[in-house]
Amino acid sequence: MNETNDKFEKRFSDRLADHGVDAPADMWDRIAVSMAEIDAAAKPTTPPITIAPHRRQRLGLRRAWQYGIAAMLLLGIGLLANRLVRLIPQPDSSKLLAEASVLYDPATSEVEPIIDEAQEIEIAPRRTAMAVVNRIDSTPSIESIEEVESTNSNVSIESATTTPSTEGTATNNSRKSTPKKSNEPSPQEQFQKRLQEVLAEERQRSGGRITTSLYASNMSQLSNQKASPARLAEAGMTKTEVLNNSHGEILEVLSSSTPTFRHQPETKLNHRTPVTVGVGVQYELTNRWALETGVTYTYLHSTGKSEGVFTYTTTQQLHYVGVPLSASYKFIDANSFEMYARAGGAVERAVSAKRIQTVGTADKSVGISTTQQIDRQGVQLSTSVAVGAELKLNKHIGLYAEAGAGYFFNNNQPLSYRTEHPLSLTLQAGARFHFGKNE
Amino acid sequence: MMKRILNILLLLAVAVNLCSCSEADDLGDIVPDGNAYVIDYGTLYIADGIADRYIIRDDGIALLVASDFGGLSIANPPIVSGNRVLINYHVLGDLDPTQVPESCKAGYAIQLNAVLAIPCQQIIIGQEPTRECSPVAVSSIHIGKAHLDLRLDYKSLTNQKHKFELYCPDPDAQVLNLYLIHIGDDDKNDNGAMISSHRISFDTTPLRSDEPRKIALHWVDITGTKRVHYGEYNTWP
Repeated sequence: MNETNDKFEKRFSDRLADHGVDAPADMWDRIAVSMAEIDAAAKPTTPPITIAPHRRQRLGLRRAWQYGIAAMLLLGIGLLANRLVRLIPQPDSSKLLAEASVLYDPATSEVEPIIDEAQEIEIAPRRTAMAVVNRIDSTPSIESIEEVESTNSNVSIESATTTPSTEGTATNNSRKSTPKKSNEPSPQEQFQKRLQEVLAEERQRSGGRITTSLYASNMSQLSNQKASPARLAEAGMTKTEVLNNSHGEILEVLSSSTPTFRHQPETKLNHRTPVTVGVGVQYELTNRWALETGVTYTYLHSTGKSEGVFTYTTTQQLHYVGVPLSASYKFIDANSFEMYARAGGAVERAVSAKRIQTVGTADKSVGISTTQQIDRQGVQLSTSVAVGAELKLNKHIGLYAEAGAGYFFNNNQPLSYRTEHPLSLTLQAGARFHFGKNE
Repeated sequence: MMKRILNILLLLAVAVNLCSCSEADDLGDIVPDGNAYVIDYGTLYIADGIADRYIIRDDGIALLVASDFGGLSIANPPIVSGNRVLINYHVLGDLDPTQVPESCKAGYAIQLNAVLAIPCQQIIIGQEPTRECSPVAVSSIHIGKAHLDLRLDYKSLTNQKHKFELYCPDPDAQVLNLYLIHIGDDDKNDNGAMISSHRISFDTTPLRSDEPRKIALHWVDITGTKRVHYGEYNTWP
């Protein structure tokens, strides 16, 4: 049987030795697909990782403004919070104690503390009681009173329960303190006194009080700087009348032989005293120095009048809003009265400027009235110094008045009281409201 | 992107509209010649059935009132056609020939700034003055086409009435002598009364001729001194 099988196998092998079968064309593809399926079944699919090019997003203008405003608010809140915390500064007591303890340190001092007699009396009974206990403990044990009586009839019961008495102080052997009776302050008293002094000095150095004020002020001229003809013309104050002389002769222009005559009547300029109102905020850096700022509003009114054949009136109205900044030093600070000196400056800008021109006759105002907007550019810079006094009505409210001088720089502003009187006296009065720590 | 553009356009539109709020209203607030004002005498002329108002200058130029403050209608007493007026105006432009009245040679459209009605009186011709002239200051003399316009300053009490007359005794003389008589006898220079200004026009049409004529105006000055002013009365085309 085995030989038959071997022969059979030998025959197959001889016949099929050179036999070959061509692989199908898609065999490898099918193998790849089947292998992929096997792999997919074996591992969880993960999405391919793609790296997208980074597109830098431009911060929109609106978003930038929002971020900027938020940052400014945060900064302002942080600063304000810091200032508010420091409004009522508390001296560091541990620091002060560390300073004051240099004078007296009970732990290191060789001098034993002086004990008052009252304390001595309190302490003594306790120590006497301890001494009695010690004595009781050291005595032989006694089971009962009867045994005491039986053993020693001479020993009274009272002696076993000797109560502390003032005589106990003589038996007190724990301390040898000797009360010193002296008129000099004790180290503890000195320590307390020095502590109070240090606290007072700390309060002196600190400030932190905030004051708001409402005030009004006006000016009085110290200098007179007459406006030039060009300046008057620029302000619309100069008027020119063109008289047609070709068909007649006018006595007013006797010297003219031209067909037309340009006549400039003289302009009379009148500036009303400017009035300023404002709200101020003052922060005390120390007990003497303070910084002040706020917002002011100033109204300037000027009138120019020219009288020729007709009457010309030019009214100019200027409205300024400004931010002052000044420093003040308090040189008198009493309970109900204080005096100070102040110096600083201001930046103002015209928020409204218009000119109203009216043409009329001398006897009757039958003429046209026109309104023009004045071109306003730039800012008005000024500086001022003043001395003031405040009457304190109570802890939080006071009335004050200031007198000083101010100078307005030439900043190409419209013609006004300030441009004609740059150096002026100022008078200011108002009310102040104090917040925070008051001394 | 589109949203940003729309926001910018919206901002521009708002800015333009806000700017326009500050602009002057139409012609009423325009001052074309800056701070220069033209002064002229003339006669108000309102044609029948036409709303346009003209002021005819002495040289024949017609001024059409294109814009005014309402002064012609609010004047008290009212200014009517034919009144002698002294006007303050700005020229806005030339008139179309069809808009020029027939009696005028040319015209302008004007913005009327102010107007003053001047009372007009006749000259007393062929008579000598019947009284002395009270002191008066003559601050302005205008010799127009058919009028002699004067501005007079004098002292006056509140309850005093003053009159002015102009005499021409000889209308045919080579030099026309005109005598101004101020009637206000109770007012003296030294009584401390207020000085009033008064404008008056005298109709010189009867004295017109084809040739230029010299004139001499006589009056008594405010200081009491007799004064004379010489001028020439032009001919008009």
